[in-house]
Amino acid sequence: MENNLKNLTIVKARELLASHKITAAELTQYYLHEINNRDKDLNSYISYNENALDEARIVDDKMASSDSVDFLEGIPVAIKDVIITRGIQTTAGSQILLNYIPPYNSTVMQKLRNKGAIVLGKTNCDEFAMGSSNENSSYGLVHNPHDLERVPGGSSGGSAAAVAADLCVYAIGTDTGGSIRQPASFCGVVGLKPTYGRVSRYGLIAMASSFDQAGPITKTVEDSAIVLQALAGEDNKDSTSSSNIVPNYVLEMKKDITGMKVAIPKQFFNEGLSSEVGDRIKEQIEILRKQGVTVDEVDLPILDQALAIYYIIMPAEVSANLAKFDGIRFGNTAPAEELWDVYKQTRGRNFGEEVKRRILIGTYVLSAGYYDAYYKKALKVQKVMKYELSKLWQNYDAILGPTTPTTAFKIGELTIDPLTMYLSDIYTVVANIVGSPAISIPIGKDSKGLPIGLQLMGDAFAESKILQLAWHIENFRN
Amino acid sequence: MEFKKEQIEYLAELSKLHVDTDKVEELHKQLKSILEYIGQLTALDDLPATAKFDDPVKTVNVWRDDIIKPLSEEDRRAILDSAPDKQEDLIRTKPVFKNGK
Repeated sequence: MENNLKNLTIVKARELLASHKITAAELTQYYLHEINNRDKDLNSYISYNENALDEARIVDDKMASSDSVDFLEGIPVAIKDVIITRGIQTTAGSQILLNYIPPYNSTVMQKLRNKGAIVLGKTNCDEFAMGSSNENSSYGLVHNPHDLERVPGGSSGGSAAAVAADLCVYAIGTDTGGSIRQPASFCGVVGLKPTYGRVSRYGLIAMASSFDQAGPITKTVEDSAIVLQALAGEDNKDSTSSSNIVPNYVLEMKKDITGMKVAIPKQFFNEGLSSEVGDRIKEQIEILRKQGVTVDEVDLPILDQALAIYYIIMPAEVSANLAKFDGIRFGNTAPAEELWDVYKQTRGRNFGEEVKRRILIGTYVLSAGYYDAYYKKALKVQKVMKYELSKLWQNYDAILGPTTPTTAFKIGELTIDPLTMYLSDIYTVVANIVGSPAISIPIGKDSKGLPIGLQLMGDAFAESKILQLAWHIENFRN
Repeated sequence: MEFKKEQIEYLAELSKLHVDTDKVEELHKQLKSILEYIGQLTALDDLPATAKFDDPVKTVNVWRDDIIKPLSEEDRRAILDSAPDKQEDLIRTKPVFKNGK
């Protein structure tokens, strides 16, 4: 039995379940066994769902008495630990939430539960999703399955590593500036950040509320489409969630791409880009051209401002969002005699270095005397970027480029210099700043055997188009 | 706008965040380089004019009236149990003011 369970996709797992070749309990048992045997080398999980097997048996009973098997029913999933899961420890990778057991479910989690998904456990991540290497987790770093001396990327590093190492069928991550796509690229898997408002943010532990989105990390583009279908939609618990109709992504994705138009911004092929990554992206561009896709180089100088906009707006929101962690109502607390000291000591002792840096930067750019120069200016430039891109979407279906400037770097290589670490998000932050959907797909490996990711970004709510291009690229390759 | 070391203490106070004295030097160096980088935006002064409503992802505030919903005893218990310090059914905190002040 075990051989045919290796590298199962959602599509394949559902076939096996629907044809009664396997039960949800057997599938869950298989992954729990794999995690137990192999995760000590990776550290991709922070905690496990102790009830996973019991829950799988309940789903088995339901499937036995029903004619059809739903898409995610009975299929084991790993959830990033910034997503609130009722009754399962949720730490956000931080000591401040050590032993925190949430009394409610995020909408993402509730939707997966309603579909009969089996949660294996909570995956490691940078503290409060702040980082690009998973080295900022207070529950230990995560190793890249392709090279254990390298980082898996971040902040959804545990989710991407768990999918790449086949320690779950798929995973859920969150993306504020690239945290789904960058680790997906480093680990050689597919990662999709939906349009802002496409998936409810209720129960995502907020980092930057105007950028955060949850989305799938999967082995194939089709699996990402299936998971997005399950997660998307309006939610009265998130006033920024959209009432736009959710299309049938799997059907849309397989439509012919002949005649589609793709833009390649010059700015995504700058001096910071590794030549190996650039060459592989260019090969894919030629393949797309042969399939009848028009590919044009475009000049978008505003993109050079993306990282600066991001590192003003994001920390500003971080400094406000993390004010709620005060050691009073939940989470870890530090002993002190006065209330102000309880706050300061609780936060000072339990937040890691990167979280502190971002709170301080955010407080700075919002404080009197600096607000206009930094925060207000960033909002203005953000608006110009949205405007410039909205003009582009009138002529193009997608922007294509590399997901990251380099492949996975070595553990410890960039930790001394936070600014250099930030540069690994230079191509991904654009989608968050303008609210667009974007996907990273693996397109091969470099000479060191490390995966290379290609990013496609589309207009707001144009997930179908980027999935369509991504699915065709994936299938031309195979 | 030069970022001075003394500002870290002020920012830490504003954000209710204890920062160890021996970390200030390194933190100053790091924050200074980040602020220099993001400062590139402050130099942009010929931004094209954008119309008020050409935001493709609408940013509108959505308001509703507050609604009081009854909470189950189980949920109430779970929320209270999350607090590190309690006295009967109340969450206990340290005093805001020092004794005698």
